[in-house]
Amino acid sequence: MLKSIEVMRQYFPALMSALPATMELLLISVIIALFLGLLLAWGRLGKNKAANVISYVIISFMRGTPMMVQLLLVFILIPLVAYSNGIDTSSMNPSVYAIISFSINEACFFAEIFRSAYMSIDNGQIEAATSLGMGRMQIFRRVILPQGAIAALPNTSNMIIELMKNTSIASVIGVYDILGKAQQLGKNNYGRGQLELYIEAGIIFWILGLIILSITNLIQSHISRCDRKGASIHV
Amino acid sequence: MFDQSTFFQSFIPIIRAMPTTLILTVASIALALTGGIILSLLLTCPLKIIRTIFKIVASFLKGIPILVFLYVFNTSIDGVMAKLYSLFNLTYSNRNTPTLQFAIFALSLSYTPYLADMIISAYNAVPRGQSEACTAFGFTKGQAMLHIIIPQMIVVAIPNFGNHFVNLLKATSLTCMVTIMEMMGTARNFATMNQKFLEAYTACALIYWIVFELFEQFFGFIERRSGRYLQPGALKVRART
Repeated sequence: MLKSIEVMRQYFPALMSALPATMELLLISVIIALFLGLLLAWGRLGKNKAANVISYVIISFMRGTPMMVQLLLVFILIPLVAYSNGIDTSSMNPSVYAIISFSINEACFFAEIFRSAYMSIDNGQIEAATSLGMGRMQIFRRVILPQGAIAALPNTSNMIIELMKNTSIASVIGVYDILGKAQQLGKNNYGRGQLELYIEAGIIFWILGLIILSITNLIQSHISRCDRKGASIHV
Repeated sequence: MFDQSTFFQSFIPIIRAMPTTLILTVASIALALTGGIILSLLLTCPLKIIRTIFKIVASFLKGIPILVFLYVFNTSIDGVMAKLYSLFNLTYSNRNTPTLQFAIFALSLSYTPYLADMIISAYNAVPRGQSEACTAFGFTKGQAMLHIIIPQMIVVAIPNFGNHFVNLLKATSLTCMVTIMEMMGTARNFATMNQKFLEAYTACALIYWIVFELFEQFFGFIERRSGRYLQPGALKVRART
């Protein structure tokens, strides 16, 4: 037991050196996913039939297939397409593929959340805004976004934590995030201390999740300060 | 770029591996449900210390990626099995390691806190008046639970349960990282053998999609059927995540 703790302590700095990689994956994916998610939700809600069908199929596919399959598909497909167009991708960082795959996947879950948040807004609000002469972007920014954010944030933060856990899948395609680093360090020592490294990686993920949760709790209490129903979230 | 005949060929081995995926899913969800019932009882225990301890445990189990669980369980197989065998004075040979069983444990452990949450929220969704009425009718606590509360809890829990089931179905694809030959693992194997990655992965994705949609429709059907008696708008806790 003491020996395990010693191993954990010894490798802690090395594991933490992989933290920026995980955070980079997470943050960039979430930011791209927010925009893509809005786009997909707009496609689902809008009157355009084609956009509706396309976004429905994309969302259904992304929800219906495991993240690992999507990641490997992106990892294989993009170099093939790029190669046939004469672009060499062999020196590209594998985290690019991970970011692409995670952001598309996350966007679909976000789209569902945004859609339900939009539908929870009373239609009278939008009509009132229209009657005041607001433009469409103005309505979105001043009426839909502030109210929709309150409704969407708990689920969104849950999905972000879920994605944070799922970034560990990126280690499959050779991204050195926390789990990838733990794997590498374990293999360097011919498997000695592997178990401790994995457990330590798990603990780091847990603490990261708790930090994200407390940040979103703060944001939630800030944006719902005018809303009587808005309470802090529980996961 | 896309070889159609390989694409269609790759369906055969992947579909052959489907039973492994289904066994993993069903066994894990069954174990996780058992664990979830126990954990939900512990989380609502009258003793505050136990409640606090298991709240931390549940948050810990929720915060760890499934892949980490799988790796931890997979690396500790030999040690655990050797200890277990030596208890009964047997010698353990690491020729046929029980990887499948350990993967099932890992998957079920990571889903246990979610199912415990599901059970607790289902219990809270049943109106308090129901158990009060049972007391008024002279039911014992066990009778009230068995005949009145649990049947209503099941109806409330089915949508969430369906969500967890299909999520677990997708999560089983991760077990290919610990050398289990389920659909994903077979697809990877096939792809490496024939050097046709795109075709095999596309086929795998399609099959997962079909299976997912089938289960989704199945749970939707059960949800509609079991909730027939509910008033529209009452007791709905559907969350599509």
